[in-house]
Amino acid sequence: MWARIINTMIGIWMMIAPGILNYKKAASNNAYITGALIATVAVISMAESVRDVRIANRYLGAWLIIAPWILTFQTGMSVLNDTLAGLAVIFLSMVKGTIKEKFGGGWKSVFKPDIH
Amino acid sequence: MENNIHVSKHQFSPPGWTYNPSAWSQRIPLLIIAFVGMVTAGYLSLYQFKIIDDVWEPFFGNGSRKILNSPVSTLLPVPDAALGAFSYLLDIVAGIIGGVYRWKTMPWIVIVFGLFVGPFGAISILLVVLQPVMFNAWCTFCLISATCSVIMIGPAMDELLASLQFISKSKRAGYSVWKAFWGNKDVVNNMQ
Repeated sequence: MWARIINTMIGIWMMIAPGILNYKKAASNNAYITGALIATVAVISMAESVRDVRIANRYLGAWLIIAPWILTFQTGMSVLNDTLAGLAVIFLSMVKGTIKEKFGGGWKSVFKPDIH
Repeated sequence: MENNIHVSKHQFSPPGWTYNPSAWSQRIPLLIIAFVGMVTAGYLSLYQFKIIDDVWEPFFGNGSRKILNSPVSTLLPVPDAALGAFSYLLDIVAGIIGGVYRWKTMPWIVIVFGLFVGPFGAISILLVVLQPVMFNAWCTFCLISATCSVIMIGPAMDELLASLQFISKSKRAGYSVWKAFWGNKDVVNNMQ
């Protein structure tokens, strides 16, 4: 749970950061969109039945790290902040946390091939 | 005695589950969040319909006015907040219909509920993200409404999973997916 909570806060921070750290336009837009997606993934994966959705944050975190170089908005603070946030998001998305409930065969069983 | 209580509590749980995702204790919190979302979006739509002259914006100055009058929010014949309020109403209706056994007896309503909560939630997030990017503005009550949508997605998915498992199992047992989807009595009574 704590890993999801921190990733939610990082996602929200990415939506606030451009205003505080004086991001340029491209960097701001990227931070708003990626931050909203990270927070959304983190909140959804708080639910035990869809805990695996957290894996999406691994890719969003990686995007935060490489985006400054692809979108070429390398200004000091935004690169530093995006990189640190990306690393933290990737690390925290690997924390599975406790699953107390059981869900039959889970999502895999729904898409199991038709073998009797 | 204790064993009886245990059995009665779990008799409606799907096979292999430790709880029943269609229980009211699971559904009522979602209904409350959907209601909050509906009231919030409804309030914003009153401003967009020009029934109230101004909208309360505690944090972002002119932000709410800017966003609620934006070209995106007036893209459709109906203001976007009114659509939001209506979609929360659909969430509430789809969340209320059916008893504690509906993951099995009414998979169709559970799947409809899952689609309303999932894709509509995603649209809310999209609209929130578009705000700062396109109009350089934020809107407090739009954010609250979007938060309601996001919070609902995860907790609604377990019931969807239970219904999909039931349909998939019925199919593997030789029943038609169509019949299982509509909660056909033959299927419901013969499947575990």
